[in-house]
Amino acid sequence: MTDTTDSNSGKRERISVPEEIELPRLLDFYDLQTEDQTQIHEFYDNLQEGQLTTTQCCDCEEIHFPPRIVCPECTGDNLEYVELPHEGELFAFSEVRGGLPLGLSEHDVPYVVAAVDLGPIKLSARIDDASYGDLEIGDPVELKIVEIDGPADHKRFFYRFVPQR
Amino acid sequence: MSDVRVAGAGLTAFGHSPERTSRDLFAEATIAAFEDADVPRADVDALLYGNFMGELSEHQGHHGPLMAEAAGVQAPATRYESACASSGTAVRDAVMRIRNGEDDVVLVGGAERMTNLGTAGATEALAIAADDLWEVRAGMTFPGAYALMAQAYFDEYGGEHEDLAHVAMKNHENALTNEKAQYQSAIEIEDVLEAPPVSEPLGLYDSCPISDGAAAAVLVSEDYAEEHGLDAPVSISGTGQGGDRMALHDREYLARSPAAREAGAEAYADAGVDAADVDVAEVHDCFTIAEVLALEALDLEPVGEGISAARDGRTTADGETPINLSGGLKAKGHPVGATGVSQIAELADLLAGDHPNSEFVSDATTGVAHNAGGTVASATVHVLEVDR
Ligand SMILES: [Zn+2]
Repeated sequence: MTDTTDSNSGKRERISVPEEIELPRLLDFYDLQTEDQTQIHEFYDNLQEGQLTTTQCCDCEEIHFPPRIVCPECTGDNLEYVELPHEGELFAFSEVRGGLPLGLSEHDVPYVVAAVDLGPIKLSARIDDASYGDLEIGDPVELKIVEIDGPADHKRFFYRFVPQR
Repeated sequence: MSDVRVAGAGLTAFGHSPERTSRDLFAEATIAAFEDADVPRADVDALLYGNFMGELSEHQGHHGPLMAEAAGVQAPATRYESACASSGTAVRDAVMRIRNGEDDVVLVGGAERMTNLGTAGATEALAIAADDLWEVRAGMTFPGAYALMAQAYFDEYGGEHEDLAHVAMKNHENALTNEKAQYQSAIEIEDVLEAPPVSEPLGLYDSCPISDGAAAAVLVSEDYAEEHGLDAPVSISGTGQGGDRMALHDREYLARSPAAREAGAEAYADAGVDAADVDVAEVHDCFTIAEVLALEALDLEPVGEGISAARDGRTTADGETPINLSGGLKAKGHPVGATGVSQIAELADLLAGDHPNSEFVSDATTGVAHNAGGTVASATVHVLEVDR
């Protein structure tokens, strides 16, 4: 029979786990936007130039948002960038008060988020300078291009909307 | 093609158990399922297991073999992930494997550990079901997306928050006798209307809770059930799955769920039934508005009329077609990866007369389970029928 008594029970080595673990910022969540990093860099290039664009299929003429690499309608890959209107309408909206995803904690809640109808396409976007009670479905909104601060070695851009005055 | 029978099912209590691992929860559910089924573990041909956020909440991937061990089965095991429809997709594949003769006995299940993340952490984890680049970065949250659906519904068809409050009240009422439910407590209309807003127009009581829990079911071929003299009166006679564009904004209508409609139509046709034959259903009410959209997608209510179904008593326990007699996700709880299989378990018990709410469906022959992922970019529907 083997001896199962704990030979060093008086002086066990202690190991520890930290109360909190700081994780490296592996992702900053926004797309990296240059030609080397994404096949839809043209969208971001255009955004930097002040134009909101997306892809249209040259075969079936379907317009998509976000920009596609292959057309999900006809499976063709002959796509070209076309300009989108910078003005649209609120298709539906809400005021977010909690439950923010990672990386969005810098946003001050509450904020308004909407599906914006630009005509050819709809997209999700934050509506700045607005509150839920002042808005109605169908209200006109216009594009606002923002620059993203963050750990990338190139300038990056994204879009928001504001109520049209 | 062999008919698929539910030999047995088991659930943990749903609720708050942050200290328990998902493998511990799943082991408990499978012990109950094997006892209920009277099928030896050695006969299991495969484990299909649903889980959504294990990497985030437990730093654990590769759940298949891990959960086979927890369940005490030696069989090939695969994890299914389709957000909140994870174990619904597992059920569908289990049905197809048994039908095509590949397997005779499939253990299907799912589990989720969520509350250890805290409310903010779990809500954050749920957000990964949306398109991170084009929805989440644009400020969209999970409650936010359902809020848009509710607003779009009110705008298109009418209705008001009070109609949705009746959905919440009904599902809490149904859960009163369900000992597995997270909330076995009644709520009033005012509780819903006066609750803090989460994402306008939806408030705290429009939302299902964050839950821990596990579910398991032993599915067998009809031949196996006969050979072994199993008491398995409930069959899964129809299965369907639908898909949609990932982002909510990319849909023509926000207040309709084509993926659920597609899944429902396929499941009805597969079972040879239509919506009028459905006596009872468990639908995916992650938010109150989601139950309304599900009823319409499944043709249990005409489009634009589902909003009044709970308020007018058509879907209450004593109504024409009781919906979510288990309490639904709203009151029973929503441990994401377990939900699809738990709906099958509840429905099988309801139809077999083994559920505390079976008295409300004593003549029912046909039930439907509807499980949806994200903003219903994925959905599964199953038809269950009982021998009477
Ligand atoms: Zn095309």
